[in-house]
Amino acid sequence: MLKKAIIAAVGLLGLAAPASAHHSGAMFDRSKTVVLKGVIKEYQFTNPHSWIEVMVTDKGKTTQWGIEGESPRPMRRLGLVPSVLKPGDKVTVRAHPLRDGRPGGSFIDIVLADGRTISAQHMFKPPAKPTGT
Amino acid sequence: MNRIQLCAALLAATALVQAGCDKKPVGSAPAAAGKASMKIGAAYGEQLANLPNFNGEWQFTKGLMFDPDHVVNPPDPAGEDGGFSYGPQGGAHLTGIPYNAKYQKIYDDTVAKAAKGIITDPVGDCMAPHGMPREMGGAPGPIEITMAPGQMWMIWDWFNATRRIYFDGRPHPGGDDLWPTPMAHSIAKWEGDTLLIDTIGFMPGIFDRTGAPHSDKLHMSERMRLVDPDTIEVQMTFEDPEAFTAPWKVTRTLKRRPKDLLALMGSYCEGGNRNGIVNGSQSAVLETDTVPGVK
Repeated sequence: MLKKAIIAAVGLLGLAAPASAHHSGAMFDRSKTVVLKGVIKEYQFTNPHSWIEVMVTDKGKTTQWGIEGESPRPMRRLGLVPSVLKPGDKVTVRAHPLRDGRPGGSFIDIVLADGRTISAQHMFKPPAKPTGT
Repeated sequence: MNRIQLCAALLAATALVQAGCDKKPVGSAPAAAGKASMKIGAAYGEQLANLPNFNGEWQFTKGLMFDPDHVVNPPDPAGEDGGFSYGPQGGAHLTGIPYNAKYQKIYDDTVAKAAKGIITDPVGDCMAPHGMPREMGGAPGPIEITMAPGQMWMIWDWFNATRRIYFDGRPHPGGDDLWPTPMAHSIAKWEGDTLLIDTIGFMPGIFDRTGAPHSDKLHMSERMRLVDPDTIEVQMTFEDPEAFTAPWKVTRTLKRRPKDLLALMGSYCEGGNRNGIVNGSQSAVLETDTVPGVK
């Protein structure tokens, strides 16, 4: 049984190299990471890629950040479905920021209001209990 | 003219099915017009019973570069903390393509631009589907394969792109009747359990996001077979008299996706309300922009 489980795990890793985005990441600075604590304005679960709009207040000033995710299929596989990310939710999102300094970035992971973390790394290493599939 | 084309030509010209071209084509005897049944019937299944089981959901291994064993790909500065991957890094390129001087220069220029962050991939801006041959290893996402009598369908999650591979003995459209389409035209025949596929009718395009170009004169030959129940090997040979000085060979592997990850739902550019990607993937539109894509 254990052997079977190990084989299954290896099988999953065999699919690694989770290249999936339909466009280049040239506009994002992948050498930088921003950590955004804020409140969800809207989760746009849409084609071709989803966007998480989050309001971040820093030193009395509120900025709307747009974080680009993947298409609905992989977002659903991660469990990041619309029912778990509602306007008003307090979250922490990590992202690679746009090179040009505007408040946008590319999704790395998110800590949801209920404390769960959902990471793009789960793409081919799904959490123990996949949701939304 | 290779053997498949020769056979196709013979079939078209004289219907010489016994000319040593092939065994009896599978599923080549459709019901006479007006005799369509209300039921599929057992014969459908019987025609498929002895074919290799390509049915299922598959994914190319080794990422988005078309020939992943022969590449230069600068490291991703995000490392392990990458979030979603965006495929090859700027300046990444394939090595060993037998380009002539003209096409080598086109490719070199594209790669040099990409190294500076200038991307010219039309797919990024939703200007085009990936199309063939890029779908066979230079495009993202899972692929569903379905066998049918006389043909096989490969359906990509991205754009629901559908490649129809006919093994019912039909030829390519000839002469002026062949025109280029994004998914090109594929006919095939069986050599034992290996499917020999012949594809023409391409549009000029690129093999992958690094921008490796090909012309509309491209001719693709494939040998597709199951290595084991969960692995398909595709040996591809490309000839392009306008771009190559010799045939180019690439072998890719498709792995069957675990059942708990089955979640094909279609990823599109159409039908969404937010592309957000502009200027050759060099910029994104934010909701808060007053002038889209301009800081």
